[in-house]
Order: sequence, then C-alpha cells, then structure tokens
Amino acid sequence: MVFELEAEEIIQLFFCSSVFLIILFKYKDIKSFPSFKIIFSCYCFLVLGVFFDVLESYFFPDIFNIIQHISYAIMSLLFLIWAITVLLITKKEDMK
Amino acid sequence: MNIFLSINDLFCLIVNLLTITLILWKWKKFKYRSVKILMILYLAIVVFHNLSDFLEYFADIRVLTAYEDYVQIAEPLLWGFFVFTLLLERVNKNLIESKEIIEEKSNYTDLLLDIISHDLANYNQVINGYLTILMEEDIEDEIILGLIHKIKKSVLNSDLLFDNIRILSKLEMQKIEQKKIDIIPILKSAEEKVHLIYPSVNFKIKRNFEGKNYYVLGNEIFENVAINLLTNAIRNKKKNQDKIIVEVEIKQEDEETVISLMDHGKGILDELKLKIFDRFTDTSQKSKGRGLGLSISKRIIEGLGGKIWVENRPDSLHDYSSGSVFKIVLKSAHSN
Repeated sequence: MVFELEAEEIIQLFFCSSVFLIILFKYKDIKSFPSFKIIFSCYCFLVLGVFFDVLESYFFPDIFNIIQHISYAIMSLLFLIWAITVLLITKKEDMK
Repeated sequence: MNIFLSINDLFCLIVNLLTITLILWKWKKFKYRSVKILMILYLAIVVFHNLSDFLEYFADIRVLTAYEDYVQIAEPLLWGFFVFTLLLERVNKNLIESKEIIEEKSNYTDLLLDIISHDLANYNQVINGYLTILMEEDIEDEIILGLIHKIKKSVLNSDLLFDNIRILSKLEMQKIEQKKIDIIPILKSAEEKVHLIYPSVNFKIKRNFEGKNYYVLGNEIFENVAINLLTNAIRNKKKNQDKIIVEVEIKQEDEETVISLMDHGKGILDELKLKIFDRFTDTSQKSKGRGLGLSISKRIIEGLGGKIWVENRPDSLHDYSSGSVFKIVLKSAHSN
C-alpha cells in the first residue's frame, strides 16, 4: 500500500513542530501546570503520529501507518490519564 | 491489518469519548475555564478524526474523510492556543502572587510606621516632659546642665524625625488634604520650634511681610517643610558663622505663590542641587543630617501640587559658596 503525500499533512506537521518548539521554549513557564509531563507526553505522541503520517508516504507505508495510529491511541490514553490525574490532584487539594 | 487498525481507532474513539464525558461530568473540578473549553474542542476534533478513520475500515463511508484533513490541521493549532492559555494563566497567577506579596509588605510597613510614629513618639514625649521638669530645677553643675540640653536637643530632633515619618506614611497613603492656609503663622511657629531645638544657636528669620497674609492651597504639614529647611540652614552654616540669618521672601500672584528662604551657609554644589532632595544625600560631606528632611519636604510640596528647588543666592549667582535659596511654589488661595 502506498500513501500519497497531501499538502494538509505537511501543514499539520509544520504547525505541530512550531507548537512543539514553543512548548520547549516556554517549558519553564508552563511546567507548573498540573501533571504537565503527562499532557506534554500526550502532545509528543501527536507530533510523532503526524510525523509518521508524512513519512509513510515515502518509506514503509504499512509499518509507519501502524505506528501513526498507535501514537494516536497512546495520545488518547495519556489524555484520559491526565484528566483523571488532575481530578485526583484537585480532590487532594480540596481535602487539605 | 485493517482489523488491527480499526480496533485501534475504535479504542481511540472510546477513550476520547470517555475523556470528554469525564471533563464534562467533573466540569467544576477542573480549575482553568479557558483550558477546559480548549480541551473539549480539541477532543471533539480528535473524536471526529477517529470516527472518520473507523468508518473508512468497515463501511467505506467517506462522508467525513473530505473534512478530515482540514480538521487535522486544527489539532496542533488548538494545542498552540492551549499553550498560550497556559502562559496567560501563569502570568495571571504571578500577578496575583505579586499583588499578595506587595499587600503583605505594605501591611508590614504600615505596622512599622505606626510603631515609629505613635508608640516611639509617645515615649519621646515622656522623656521630653521629664527633661523639662529637670531643666526647671536649680542645677548648678554646668556639665550636667550641658548634658541635659544636649539630650533635650536630641529628643526634639527625634520628635521632628517622628513627625516626618508620620507625614511620609500619610503621603504614601495619599491622605493629605489640601486646604486654604496662611503661610505667615506657620513660618512663625516653625521658627519657634527651631529655637527650641537649637536654643544656643543665634538664629533669626528676616522677613519682609509683617502684618500681611499670604493664603495658599496647602496643609498644616507645610510647617514641617519650613522646619526642615530652617534646620538645614543651621546644619550647613559656615565654620566660623556665629549668626544664622534666613531671609524669607514671599511673592504672591493670582495663580502661584513663591516662597524663598535664603541663607548664608556653605552653599550647595551645582551637581548636588537636584540630588539633595533624594534620600540619603547630604548637602555637604560633613553635614549632620541624613537627607530625610529635604526628601520629605519635596514629597510634601509635590503632594500639595507645588514645586521645590534650590538655587545660588541672587547676589552671587555663579558662586555657590555664598549661600543657597530654597524656592517653593504653591498654588495661591484667595482670601475670600
């Protein structure tokens, strides 16, 4: 299976990388946000997914397609974990 | 392969729907409102993406596929907004924290000012009272009498300092009320107080305004400005100067009143003429003052909407060593 590279995928990769750089640049300022490491990992998997989405048009389309979808799955899972963690932290703070 | 991917996409769909439900269900527990809205928007897009992928595998329904690519572009953009919102939240949090710290420090400063200007001033009053009683006794020992006079002078000086601090705290809180005042009785009262502080100094005010009234927009605390300037003239007298004469001139016009206090002291170097109104700047290297009086005088005058500065004497404009003229401009108030 060969995938065609679409312009939207390149734009998405461009935006993803830009936001990723902004996060890295401002990491110190936003790291205090509750469970930031989880939400940051979540974003890293989105970037990874988009990256493999572009890459699958050039090499190993099947493998990279799977990696892309798995990245999205991990991202979704991390998002859920983040939401639960934030809830637990809020609950702890309320109890204090 | 398709089955694996479809299961994977179904898993994503379910997890994302679960997250949306969780956020909506516990909406109030998530603190940052703007972040919550962005999260929901983001998750809605991801769900759309998952749904589109999932439908493709089974029924080959491509209704959503046409929009999928555009929707995917929105994903990182929303993340960008999310980061921006986090930064804003961070800035807001810092602002609130800074405000709290400033308030706390301000309360602490108020407490210290209150202690200095009231409690310590009260102890000073008691010492002053006992000293007055002591001075009324027939003390023949000149050494002891001299010491009592020195203590009295220090107590009066510290009284003036407490007064200045009290005014400073009022100025900080912008509590000074502007009203119509007559400068002449205030200057006379200031002269009497300076005589009390420096009883042994031959000090005199030479004035050209006997029997007149000069009304300005000010406050009784103008007396402290006059005391500060007169004591400054005494502290900065020349080495062998026996008699200290401060000439006071008042020129009143419709809008403004200019009060000039001229002395024959050591004078002030041109480069120090602006700096002397700053805290901790002495008018001369050997001055006994700590620079607080002139600094407070400037604050008082500016608080009253006026101006204060220092010049060389008009009879020797280019020679600072002949003495100084302190000029004060206040708004004129009419007698009616």
